[in-house]
Amino acid sequence: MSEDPKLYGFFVDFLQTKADPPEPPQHASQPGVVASRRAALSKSNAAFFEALSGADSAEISAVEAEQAVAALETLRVRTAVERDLLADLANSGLSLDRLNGLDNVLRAGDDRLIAVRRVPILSTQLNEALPAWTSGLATETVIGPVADAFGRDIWLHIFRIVRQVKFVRTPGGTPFLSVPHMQFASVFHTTAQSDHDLASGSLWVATSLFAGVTDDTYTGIRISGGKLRLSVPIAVNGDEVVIPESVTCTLDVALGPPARHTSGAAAVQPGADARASVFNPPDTLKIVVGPSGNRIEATAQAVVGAFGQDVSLAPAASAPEYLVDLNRLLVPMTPEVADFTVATSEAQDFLIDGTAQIASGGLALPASRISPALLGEAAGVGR
Amino acid sequence: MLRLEPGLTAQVSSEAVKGQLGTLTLLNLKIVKLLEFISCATAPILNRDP
Repeated sequence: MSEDPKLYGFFVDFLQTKADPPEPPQHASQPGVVASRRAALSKSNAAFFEALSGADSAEISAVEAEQAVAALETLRVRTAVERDLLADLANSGLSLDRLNGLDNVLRAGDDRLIAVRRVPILSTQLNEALPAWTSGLATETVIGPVADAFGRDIWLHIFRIVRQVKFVRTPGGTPFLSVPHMQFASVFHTTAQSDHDLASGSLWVATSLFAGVTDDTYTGIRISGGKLRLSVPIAVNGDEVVIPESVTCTLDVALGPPARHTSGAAAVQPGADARASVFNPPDTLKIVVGPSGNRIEATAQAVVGAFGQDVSLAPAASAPEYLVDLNRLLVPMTPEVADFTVATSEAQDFLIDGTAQIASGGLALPASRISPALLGEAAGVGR
Repeated sequence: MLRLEPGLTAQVSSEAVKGQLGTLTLLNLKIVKLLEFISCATAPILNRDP
């Protein structure tokens, strides 16, 4: 059991049982109560919750999964819809999966992954926010905020695993390209062909093709359509398609950014600068994977803007760069102005001003370190 | 995304440091380090016992 106070409240809430309803939050701060609750932690529970928090842990046992179900049912929810969603999760069977060599993830049934967020920020850069494996994955449902023992808000993000067509260089190898089944019209055909149309949906490409990262890192992009061209005709059918090393794959895709969330909040409410920010991604992207090299490049102009200044970005032929601190693959583009100046700012509590030289620009695509077997839909088109 | 050289200045009001993280709205700028600083500054407050 972690002694980290940031995790403690969450653990305590999970460990409540129906027979022992949560005490009022003010009691939880008393040292005696905290100590007695801590003493009540069983060894198996400790292992489970350490795993849930991303720490190293053994595989979850059937007993621990049962306790996890009970724990989910005791979260204090605010609506009947949330209660039903939690009950559905708990009843679907919980288990732990290894995402990669480092992290465990809580899995509900065969097709859903759960991430816990403890701060009101959608980010993969903060310890209390979303874990790094969620970078680029589309959230299917968010349950919350629900309250922990101290009354703090937490959110459960649910991700749907989607059956994919995986393109590999050798049978059973690590996919370098992965596309949901439903986007191929030809998955049930056996005819070999060079051109394959992609319907709107997701495109996952191994980040290691373009930057020095581990093989289990994938960049996810939402597309509105596209075409996969193979230098020799190959049939795309089944869950795995073997593309020999000598074959070049060329992808021309149209980006399909999700509809922008508009809350209708007044300009004076928090988030006004974010709502006023501008991000027009390039319309198209080209990806080439083959024996003569791999490249990913924007093939149309983009615009980014914030605080009253918009900056156009032109396609560039430079090599991509993996940004470790952002979990993103930067596809370089050329800013058409040299400086960025804050012209307007609506925030009341965070006051920003001044001018800064623009060092570089580009399309920052999210990259998730995750087992290819757990990929779902891509969340967006970067930023 | 734009990467900026140093040059912008920022002031954070006391209200923001009290946990109003929702007001941090710099989504298209790489000011992650600043966000981390704010997070560190507010963590003891957010995680205090009620």
